[in-house]
Amino acid sequence: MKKEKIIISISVLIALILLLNFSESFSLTEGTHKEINKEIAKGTINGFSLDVYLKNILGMTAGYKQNLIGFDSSGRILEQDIMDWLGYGGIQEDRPGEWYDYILGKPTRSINHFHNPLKSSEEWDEAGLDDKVLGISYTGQSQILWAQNPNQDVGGKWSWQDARENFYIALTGKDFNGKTVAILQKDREQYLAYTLRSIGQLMHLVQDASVPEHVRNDIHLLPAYEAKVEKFRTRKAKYDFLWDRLIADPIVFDKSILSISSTHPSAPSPISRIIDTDIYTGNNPDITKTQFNNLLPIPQNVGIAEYTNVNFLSKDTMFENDTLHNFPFPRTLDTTLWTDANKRTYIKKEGNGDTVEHLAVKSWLFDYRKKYFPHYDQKLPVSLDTECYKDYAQKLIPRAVGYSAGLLNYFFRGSIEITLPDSGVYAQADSPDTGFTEIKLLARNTSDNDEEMTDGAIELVIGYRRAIDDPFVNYPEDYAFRADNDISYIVVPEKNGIRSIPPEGPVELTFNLSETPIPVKAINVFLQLIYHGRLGYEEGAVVVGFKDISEPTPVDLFNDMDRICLNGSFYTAGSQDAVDLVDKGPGGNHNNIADEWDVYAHHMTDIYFKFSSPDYPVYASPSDYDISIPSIYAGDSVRVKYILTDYNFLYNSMQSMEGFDPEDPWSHSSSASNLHSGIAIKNQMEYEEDPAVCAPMSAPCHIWWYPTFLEYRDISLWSGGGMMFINNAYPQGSECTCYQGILRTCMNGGQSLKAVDSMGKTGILSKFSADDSRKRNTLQMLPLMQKQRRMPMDE
Amino acid sequence: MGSRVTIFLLFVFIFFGANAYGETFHGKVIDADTKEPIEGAIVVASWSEERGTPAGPTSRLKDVIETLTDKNGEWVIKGPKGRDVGNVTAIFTFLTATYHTLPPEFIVFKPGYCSYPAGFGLEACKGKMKTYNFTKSESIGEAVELPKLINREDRLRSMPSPIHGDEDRIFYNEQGMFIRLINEESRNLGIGEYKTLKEYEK
Repeated sequence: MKKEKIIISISVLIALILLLNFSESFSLTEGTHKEINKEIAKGTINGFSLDVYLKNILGMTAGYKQNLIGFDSSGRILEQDIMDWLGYGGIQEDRPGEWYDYILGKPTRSINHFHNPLKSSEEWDEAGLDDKVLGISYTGQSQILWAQNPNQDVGGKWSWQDARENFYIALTGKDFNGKTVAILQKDREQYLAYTLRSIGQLMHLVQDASVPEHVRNDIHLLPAYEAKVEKFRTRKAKYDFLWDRLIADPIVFDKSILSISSTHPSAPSPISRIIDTDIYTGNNPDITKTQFNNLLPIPQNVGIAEYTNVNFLSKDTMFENDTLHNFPFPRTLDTTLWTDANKRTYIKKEGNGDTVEHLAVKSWLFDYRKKYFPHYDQKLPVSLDTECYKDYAQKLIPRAVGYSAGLLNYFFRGSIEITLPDSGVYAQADSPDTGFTEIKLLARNTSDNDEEMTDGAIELVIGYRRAIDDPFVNYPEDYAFRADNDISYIVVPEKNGIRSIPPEGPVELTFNLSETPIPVKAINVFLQLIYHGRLGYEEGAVVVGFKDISEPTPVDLFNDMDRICLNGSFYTAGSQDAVDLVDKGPGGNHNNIADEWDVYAHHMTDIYFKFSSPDYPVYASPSDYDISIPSIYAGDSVRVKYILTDYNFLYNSMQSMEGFDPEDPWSHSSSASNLHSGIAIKNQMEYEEDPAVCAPMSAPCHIWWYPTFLEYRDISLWSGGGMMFINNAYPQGSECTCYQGILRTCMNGGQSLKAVDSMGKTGILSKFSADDSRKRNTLQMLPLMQKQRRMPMDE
Repeated sequence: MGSRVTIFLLFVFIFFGANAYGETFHGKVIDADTKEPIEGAIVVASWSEERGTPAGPTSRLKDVIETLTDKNGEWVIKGPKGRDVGNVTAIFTFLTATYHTLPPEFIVFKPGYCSYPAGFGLEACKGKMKTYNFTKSESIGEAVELPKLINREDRLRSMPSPIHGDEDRIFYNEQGMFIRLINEESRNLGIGEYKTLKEYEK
């Protein structure tokens, strides 16, 4: 009997609802949220492109199409690209939420997706859902508080703080408590996936605030606006591609709203202002009126919930005055009736906010109500049809896109520029055994809107791949250089306790790597500077600066002055043949001494070597140098250091030449070289879209940049940052064929030395006075073009 | 009592059973520029099912079926017709913890072409990409015209993603050809493949 009653009750209830419902009804899926998130991931909105950020700051060459492997909500492996992880968050914010959870009053996520903007920020604890359906009461936390609730109790923790921590783990491998939770590259990528999922879930909340039901305390078991929007998306042709137009021109908020301080202790992040600025009080609806410039909407100064609440109706809040659904706007005083071409009569809203042509549609009972109860303007028999929802969507979806894109932008808004310190190098290693034990760099806050980084922990992440083969020798073209596939990471705090990064000028930061030095056999080296702390009005922000720096680059010096180029052939310097050639040749004085041309061997002494940034050229001197070498004997070479620097840097040297042959009549003195453009080693795979670079392969392609060393007198030398000291060739203009033809010109005319660098520029490296009887030769080892190896895509 | 139950069950059948009927979906895929049929394009139909909640309905993936176009560019897929959810269905699914099958969504993809429906939003596809309503059986004989894409960025934006199921529903086995073509296009565009899905390629 009891069952019979239940069945009858349900049948009657269904029938009643069927009869009483006037409006069209369609389904809702999470697909709308997913697609909005994916579109945002692909586009550039209000100057921010996730794709560009991923490529430039996180070093992900595939941008939003980069695949990341994580786990789904059921614990299964889930591989998706970044765009889909953002979309996945859009779906998952509504899950779980089983039917019995609602019946039994168990927690669900979506019950916390409501916000009443009429509540002041002090009242946000009461701004969530508080409504009934089928006699069951439902209450939830305001979506503003839910978004910043670090103790979310159903469906996992995906709040703003969790998104921040996931991002921090993805960058450093550590959680906010300093506990290491992600060691390997794949572990970090998993947390990056969760970062995107978290943000996607938060974007869902912003998008929900563009739904009238969600900002007017209207629980909605029956399909309504959201369901219709989903149809606009899935039935594009039927609705004349309205959906594509809706998402094509987002309406964004003015970023100044993010500087309105929050007064609620549970919503400290300014992201709350994206939903509710707290400016709308119930008496000032005109603040929500869209402002235009040249017919284009300008960034708006109100929260999305405020705009939606003032200008639109939901099924259960159409001119209601009951305590749960009483909202001052839209109000009947601002409405007029009009009839369209199909003879349907609509209610138009004009004034006190935006104009809405199809605010609601009149039902057949409407005229009777007006006739017999003209003074009663509550609970009007009106409804919402397709034209109403189209009108709503045209104003609300562009905001849902623009405002949630603004949240994504806000998450990644901080930026840090990393540059070379004045020393011209980030790090120096004296020996391959010790590796690099300290890094110095310059950091500048380049965030938009002058948001300051005034108090935060600063850490450096160094990423690299460990080479298995020796990276400082040449290999055949078809040799597959061996190195670890995975990236190794080093994470170190700033050494001197600096906690701020100023915007006006760079600050020098130092990082001690003595516990975890960077090996010199590292390739694909990059830096990520992490700031975790206050950024503008937000506490606990995570900002990253990225720099792809050089690989460890040896500094090689070679004293080639034990030989000399005479008449196009090499001779042993100071040998009798060399002396005779100039002494007994044309113009020679036949005194058995080479006083016509210095053909003797020389040692190099008191060598000072200095690196500098291209922005701040510095010359070497006995009081300012990076490398000091007492002497290099004729014929000797020395690898004095390894450096980490930018791919382009400056260097020069100061040195003395010393004759040691008793027959040598020449005097020698110290000399300084001009500034040289250094080129540091790049040894990594890069993604390239430029057809000119990829040719003859088709673009895009992967390029493996690898160094080619100068194999000179059986030694492998890096020519991009070292020096070679040679005797001047005789006679002027004489040339010797240099080893392997790599040194294209050893000497060029008289007292000048000429070289062609890798950029194709020709420059004078040193020049002597024509009447200077003492001849000195210094020649930079010619920087070589780094060769590129083209790799098939599937490698 | 018995008659009441019968009436109720009939009511349920009329409102909720109809969508379970099988339907044959047909179509043809042709090159928008040459009007020649495109052979080997993948057509993927996916069905979701939905139920009501007080915060709005929620859905999950129900099934996926894929097929390739033949030399005439034609394809056939059989599956439930599905139906949009109305008020009665929403309440019924909420109270009975059941799901309701929605009409299928289709993806048409051929590497190097605008894909349906992702390509609709692309400038390179607008106006050139013509289609019909896939969910109506009377669409037999009509065609979807896919313009070619030459710009890499357009191809990236147009490329669909494998369909991921919910809860314990994977459905990767049902989209092996789709995954293979996505990985092929990924290689063409120089981005990473779905490595964990390669085992499902057909």
